Parts: sequence; C-alpha cells; structure tokens
Amino acid sequence: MYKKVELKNGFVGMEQEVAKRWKEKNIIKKNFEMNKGKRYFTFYDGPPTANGKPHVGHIETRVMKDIIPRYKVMKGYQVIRKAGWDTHGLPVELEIEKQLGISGKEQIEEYGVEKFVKKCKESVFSYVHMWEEMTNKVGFWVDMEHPYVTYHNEYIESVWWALKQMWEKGLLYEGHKVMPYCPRCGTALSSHEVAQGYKDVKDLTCIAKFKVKGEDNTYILAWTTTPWTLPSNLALCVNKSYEYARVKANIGTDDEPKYEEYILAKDLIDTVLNETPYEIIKTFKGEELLGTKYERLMPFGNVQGKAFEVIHGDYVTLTDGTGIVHIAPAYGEDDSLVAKQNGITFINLVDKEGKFVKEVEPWAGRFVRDCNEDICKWLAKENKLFSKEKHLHSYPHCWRCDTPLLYYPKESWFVAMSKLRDELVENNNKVNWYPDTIRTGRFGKFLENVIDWGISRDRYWGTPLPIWTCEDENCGHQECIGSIKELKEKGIDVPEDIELHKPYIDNVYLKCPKCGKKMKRAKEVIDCWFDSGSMPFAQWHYPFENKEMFDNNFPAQFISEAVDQTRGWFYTLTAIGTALFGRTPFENCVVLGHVLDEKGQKMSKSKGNGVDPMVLLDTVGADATRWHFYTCSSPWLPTRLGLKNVQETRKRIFKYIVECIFILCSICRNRSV
Amino acid sequence: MWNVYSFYVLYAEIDQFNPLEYADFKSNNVMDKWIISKLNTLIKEVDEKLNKYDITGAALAIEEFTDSLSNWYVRRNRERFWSQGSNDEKIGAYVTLYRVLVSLCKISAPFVPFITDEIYQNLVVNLDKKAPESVHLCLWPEVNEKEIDKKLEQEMDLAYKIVKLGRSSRNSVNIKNRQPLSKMLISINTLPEYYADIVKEELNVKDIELGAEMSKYVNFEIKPNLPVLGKEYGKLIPKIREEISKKNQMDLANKVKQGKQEYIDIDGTQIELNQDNLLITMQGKEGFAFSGEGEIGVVLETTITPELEEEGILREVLSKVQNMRKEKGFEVLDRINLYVSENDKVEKIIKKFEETIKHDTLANNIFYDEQKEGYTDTNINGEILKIDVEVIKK
Repeated sequence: MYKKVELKNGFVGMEQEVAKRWKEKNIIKKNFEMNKGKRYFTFYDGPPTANGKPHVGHIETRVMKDIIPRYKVMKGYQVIRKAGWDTHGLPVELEIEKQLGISGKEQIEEYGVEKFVKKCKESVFSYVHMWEEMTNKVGFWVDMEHPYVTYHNEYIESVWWALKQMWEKGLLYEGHKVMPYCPRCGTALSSHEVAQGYKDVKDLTCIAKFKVKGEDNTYILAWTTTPWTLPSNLALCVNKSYEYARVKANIGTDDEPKYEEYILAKDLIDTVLNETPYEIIKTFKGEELLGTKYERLMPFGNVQGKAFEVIHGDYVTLTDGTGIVHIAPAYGEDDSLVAKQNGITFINLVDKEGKFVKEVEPWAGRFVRDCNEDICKWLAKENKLFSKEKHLHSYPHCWRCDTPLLYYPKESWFVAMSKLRDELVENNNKVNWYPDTIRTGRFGKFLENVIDWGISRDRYWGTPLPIWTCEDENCGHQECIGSIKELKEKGIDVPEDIELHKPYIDNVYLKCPKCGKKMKRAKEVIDCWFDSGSMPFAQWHYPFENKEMFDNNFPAQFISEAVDQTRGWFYTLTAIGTALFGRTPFENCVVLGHVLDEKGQKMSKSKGNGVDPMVLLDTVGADATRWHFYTCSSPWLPTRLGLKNVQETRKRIFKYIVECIFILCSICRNRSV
Repeated sequence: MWNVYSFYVLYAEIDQFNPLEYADFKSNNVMDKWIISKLNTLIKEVDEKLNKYDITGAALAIEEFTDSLSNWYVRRNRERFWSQGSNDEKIGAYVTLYRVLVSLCKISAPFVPFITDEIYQNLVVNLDKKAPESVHLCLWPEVNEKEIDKKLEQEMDLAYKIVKLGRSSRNSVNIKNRQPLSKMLISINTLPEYYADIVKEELNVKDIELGAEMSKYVNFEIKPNLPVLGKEYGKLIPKIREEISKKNQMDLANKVKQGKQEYIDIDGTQIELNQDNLLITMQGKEGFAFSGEGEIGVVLETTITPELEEEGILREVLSKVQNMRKEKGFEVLDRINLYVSENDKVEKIIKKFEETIKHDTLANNIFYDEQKEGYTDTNINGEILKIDVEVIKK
C-alpha cells in the first residue's frame, strides 16, 4: 500500500527524482494555471543578467521569491510568474571589449559598431543554461519558457513609449552632468580611471571676498583651490547647523585703520584672519545665512535664472577654508548636485580644450589652469581678494597622458525626478517594506534628496534614446518617438523590420515637421536600469498588447531583492511608476541581507571563501538550503552560509531519518525472512 | 518531519492501515486532541505569518511544531501503535498522525517543495486516486476552530517543557534516564495530575514536589563579565561585586536571564546590570541537579539509594537484552534463552527480578554462569556482565 520509505540516493537523489516527476507530469505548468479566473496575486521577478555566472546570493533571492507565490497559489490566487533577463548595458560591452582585446570607444568604432553590437547580443545568454539549471535545482518556479528580455524589439518599444510619456509631461530634458575630463585626450574618464591618477601638486589657492548685497563693506569669505572656476561662481554654500560669525577686521594699520566686515565659520576665524586684528560682532547658525544675496564676483558671461545666493550643503566641513564653499556648478560633482537641489542655474565658461570662452575677455583662449595667477591679480585690483597662497593637495591626473583633469559638464539627458520628489515620498510611504526601517530610512531618505536621473549613456549596447533633433541649428526642433508605428510614419525610408538598436536606428532620419529639413537621432543609449524599471508594462509589451493582462497585474503585490537594489531596481520601479502611473508599482517589498561565509565574513574571490551555488545544491540539496535561508535569521539580516552549517540545518530538520531508515530496513528484512 | 513520517509508514504498513476507511473517526485521546489542537493553531499561525511576509517566523513555528510532534506526540504514543490487533486507541493514533502529517506536509510545501511532495505522493496519492497529483496542486488546509483548545495546549506544552528541563538536568550530572530517581522539585505551583504522571513517567522519577523554593537547592553564582563591565567601570568592579552579592541571587539571575535590567547605584553612578555584562551560573547544590528557563525551575534529587541502584541496573539489563535481540535480527515475537555470567552483583539483581525480565524480554529461561561461547561483555552502569541470547526453535 505505502511505498517503502528510504533514500537510496540521499536527499539530493530524492530531489532529482521529484524534479523529474514534476517535469513528466507537467506539475509546474499546472501550478501556474491553478485558480484561473480567480483573484490575481502579482509577483514581479527582478531580471538578472545572464552574461555572468550565478552566485550564492542569487540562491537566496530565488528562494525568497519562490515561497510567497507558492503560498498564494495554495490560498486560491492566480499567480503569474514571468522570468526576465536584463541584457543591455556597460558590463556586457566591457566583457566583449575584453574578449576582443580592445578598449575604449575609439577602438569599438574602428572594429565596427554593428559587429560589436552583434557580439553583445550573442553574449547575453552565455550562462543562461547555468541559471536555468540553478533555478530548477533550487525549486524556484518561474516561467522561463516565456521570459521578458530587455533587448527584444517589443520590450524596447514599450520603453520608448514610457520615455515618450515622460517627454510629453515635460520630464525629459537635456542638461549637464559634471564628469572628470581630460582636456588633452578630449574624453571623459570613469571613476575607476580617475582613481588611478591622483598626484600631489602645489596649486595657487585664494580666499575671495563676495560682497553682500545691500550692505556696504560686508563680505562673505570663500576659499578655492581652483581660482579659474571663480568666473563661473553662481552660489555660496554653508552648513546650516554650523556656527558662523560676523567679524569686524582692521585691514589697515594701527595708525591708519581700515575696517571691513567678514562672514565666515566661527571656528576658523583665527586660521583665516591670522594676524589681522578683529572683533566678533555676532555669531549665529548657518541657517540664518540661507538665502542671503551677494553681488556677482566676476562679470563675464551672461547668467540667467536663480544665482548668487547662499545655500545649504551637508558636505561643507570645517577642516579647511572658511566654512563657506564657492559653487561653480559646471566643474564639480558636489557643486553640480547642491546647485540642482537648490534650483541654481548653470553656466559654463570653458571650452572642450580646457580654454576660457570668448566671453571671459581678459583670458579668452587661454588654458584655464594657467590663468590662476592672473585671476588673483584681477581680484586684488577689484578689492575682491582676501588672500592667496600656494597649497599642496592631491589632484587627479589623466592616467594616459598625465594632464591634470578638469571637472567638466557633459551634455546629458535627464528625467526631472526632483520635480516629482513629494509624490515619490508620498507613494513610497504607502509601500510595506520588510523591514519597515527601509521605508523612512535607507530608501525614504534617498527619495527625499532625489536628484534628476541622468539616463543617457554615450555607449552602444542599449535601448536607443528615441529623440531626434533637426539638423538646422536655427530650427533645432526635437521629436520623441514612442512606437515603431510612429517611427515609420515620421521617419524617412524606415526599413520594415527595423531593429531598435545602434547602429541601425542611427541610420533613420525624420523629416522635420517645422522646417522640412532632416532630423538626426541623439547618439546616446539609455541607462539599462531604465529598462528593468520598465518591466511592469514592458514585460507585456504594454500598451501595444496585453492591456488586460497589465491592468490585472499592476501593481505587484510582492517583490523581493537584495538591499543594494534600493539604489537600483527598487528605485527605478518607483521612479518610472510615479512618473507614468502616479504610484509605486509594488505594494510589499521584502529586502534581503547579504550572504556571508560561516564566520560572518563577506564572500570574495580573493579570500576564496565563496560557496559555489551548484556545489551547495548538489551536496546538501535544495530543501536544506532553502530551510537554512528561511530560518537562519530574518531575511533582511545577513545570512551566514557554508556547506557545514547548511548540513547542520539539515540535521536539525531531518534529525532521526538515518535511524528510522535503519529500523525500517531491519523490519522489512525481518518480515521477508 | 521525515522521521515521524517514516515511523508512520512503518507501522501503518505492518497493520495495513488505510486512513480513508476511518475518515469520520473521532478520537477522544487527550494526546490526539492536543496535537490536533496544535495543528490547527499552527495552520492558522503559518498562514497569518506568511500573509505578513514573516517567512522566518512561519518557518520557526513549523520547526517548533515538528519538535513537539516527534519528540513528544510520537514518543508518548509509541505503545498505541505497537499494541496488538485493532482497537480504538490504535485507530485514533493512526488517524491523528495521518491527518497531522498530511496537513504539515501541505503547509510546509512552499518552504521545502521537494521532500513534501515525496511524502505526499506516498501518503496521499498512493491511497487516494482522486487526490490532486502533487502537493503543489493542493489548497491550504482549513482550520477547524472547534478543535482548538488553548488550555489543553498550554498545559501539555508546560509538561513537555518540564520534561525537557528535567532531561537537561539529568544530562548535567550524567545520569541516564533509565536510572530511576526518587524526587523532582518544580518551581511552579500547579500541574494537573494527568500531566504530573506523564512527567514522572518520562523522567523516571518516583515523586514530584510542586512550588519548591529553588534557592534551597541551587547555588547561584553571579559575576561581572569583566571584558564588558570592566571596560566601562574598571575601578568600580570590587564595589559592583559587593552590590551584586547583596541582591537576592535567584531573583537577580531570573530577571537578567529574561533579558530585563537591574540597576545598582555606586557612589552616585547608576549602573545597569544585564545579560551582556553579567556572567551567571546556576548549579544544583550537592545532591541536586538543576535546569531552568524563564519562570520554570526544575531540580532532580540525584542521591541514588540502594533500591534505586538495583532498579537502575534492572532497567539497564532489560535495555541491553532488547538491543541484543535487535542486533541479532530476531523477530519481535521470538522467544529466547538468556545467558548471563561473571558478575555476581548484577546476577543477584537479575535473580531478584527474574520474572520481570523473562516477561519483558520474552525469555523462557535465564541461565547463570553457563560455560559457553558467544558471550558479549556488556557495561551495566559500570559493572561488566557477560550476556548472550539465543532463539528457541519452535
């Protein structure tokens, strides 16, 4: 009547037999189709990239993602579980560059963009069999036969639709992103390149005097190590919680006193004023300075919009300078950020070769770093210089040619997320986060300080930015294309089977509806995080198909990924959902902690303390591994994992199995005698 | 879970028990009612927790239930499964265990999908061709509120907890469960007789005293944890020691062990004492073994009188003989001859309890100091006795 209870092939063997039975009897598909016509419970699978091998952290996410849908099916819900693959982006390109033994955009262009993009496409599923095997072995039931793939034309078309929605709402704009830039090579450098070239150099620094508007003889003091950025100054930055002071200083002599009033951080008065006699008139919190207007320091170039006032920045410190930072938004990452947050406008007075533009009359055409001395002289003449001195500091240089780098504004496309800040925060407050601290902490804080999302990438393998600009400079009309149909209507001789990738899409020109001339596509692709953040609708090729399916499955009731996704997928889902649908696309989010080794150390290749996910599943088995992740600690805390302690978990749950099998066998033997 | 499952299949197969024939059977056994009540509570709890995404809480609830099931329910009911023939007690045990296993299997399925489906195939699909073909095509089991009896659960859980503490007391002084002890002292004031009897039987003690004052039997040693407390209050340590010693040691130990804080004042400095900065050891005084958890303290009297020693030896002999039957592969109902040799002390006791031994081990004869081959040296509570058993051919 009952089958003999024994594990001839151990737990792993039993699991393989069970998996075989599921396949033969089509159990997984039957589970997907259970409760058809009943209420939906929706789960979104965050797409991994299959051009790299899965690691043990992926087992954790799969195990957590799996349990809730299974439970909800048992509770009578219909649960759709579409797998997804994230396929675009720089990591894919870098992998191909490595394979081809080339490096950088110049060499890619030389190799041929079409060939390069084809290689990228071929590579994205290099390890897909490993992913599928792991997914099957761990028992994660997700529809891998009909996955969404971010490079498919249908998917890209949905992403284009999303971009067009934003375009129409006025959320897409072209702006500047400050990046480290080598004026000799004419290229921007990525952060890891910059890190290679720091050197100690002696530079001329100065403290400039910014005259307070409407007050005679009162100046705000600010220090800079790059005097050449002073013509582009647009704001001064204080820390609102620090103590500042207004002092009356005698810059004349004892016999012939000459008084000026200065504003600077209280703790730095002695260092800055040095020998100059002074008395403190009053002290106050930085808060009180916010909004103070001052006169523009140097009159070159035309500034429009909000500028020349005191703003707040958390990053202002009292370690050196005056406790007040001069802000030139074009030439510093911090400067650019704090200016954007405060709505300060933008000006760039330096050309791509690192020379002043013609508006900076005295030094036009000269390399900016060579003008530091002259700028200080000019300031002194205008009574705008407090002091100058040579200063030794660490400054980044180009690792290729040793030229000092400049921070330089690069033209970029942005989504104006800062306009949606309140809405983002409000929407997020309706989400149930596990643990709840993420809602107001890590994620909530991030949203409160959200800045505009730079979405364009000057690369090759990605969703092309669907914005065309009229080639006629006087016209300059721009169009955002939101579907293949629209592309064919407005484009000139668009091939029937157009693939929405570079270089094919770059050959498509539109006819300008304003002036009738040719329009050319912006050359950039977009951030691949925009792709994955679009999955709630793009996985269904919405709105071009599956309208009902989307309506029934938006928002998701459940998502779960590792904690680093607060800056990644959790954010892009929230951002796109808020911009397009006015809500967060998920209701419950279980945030997962990282997986550590048995001793609580981070797993790393160099330490060799990583656990191979396949070895884990092949020796200890899926059930024990799953149970370990469920019981070891709350999902959001780090999980300690090693073959040994998963084995211990197995012993704990299946304590007496060996004993029982032994008794069973002996009884069976007895009865057969 | 697997072990309970194989236990069930083992006996159900021997008895050719088919639970489908007893679908409406109602068991009145207290143990059955208890585990069914707990099962309903568990189904509800796991449902509520998963619904709130408390995956870990749900998994730990299942783990705790599994412990009660295998280490308490099955353990306490073995004899009902072993009993001969068919009777209500036995049917009740089967029906109950079957139902518990099938439900447990279903609610565990989202957690451990492989082993639960394997068990489900054998328990359900093999018997009931109309059942869904996989546990993963089943719906969540229904909760029957009428079967939940909170009072019963609490009392039985308490008895089980006391037994667990008693076992750890025995372990702490290295006295096997087979050695009977005269008395057990428990700090709580009430325990219904039904449960007291279970506790006595499980822990092999003659008598239970409730409401015992623990400090009479237990030494508390409470010391500052120097690496923690010393770092902050280095110089004050001697004074802290003095203050600690002035406190009621039992109260302080209990309070701190429950994660609460106690405050002392030294020269105007208020110092918090807690689990992290104190080292607490609680040990039974000479002649007593202690274990405690929260409010519950359990003390065993460890003095072994000559009578208790004899009884201990008897139990040990019985166990060794049963083991030997098993090792030699005898059938459960085989009659045997028992040979013992070369230990006068133990043999004297065997003679004294000869009838009991014959009855329990199905021995027709016991032979003393017979010259023969095949003896095995056996350790009986420190005494070496030669033992052998042989089947009496029909």
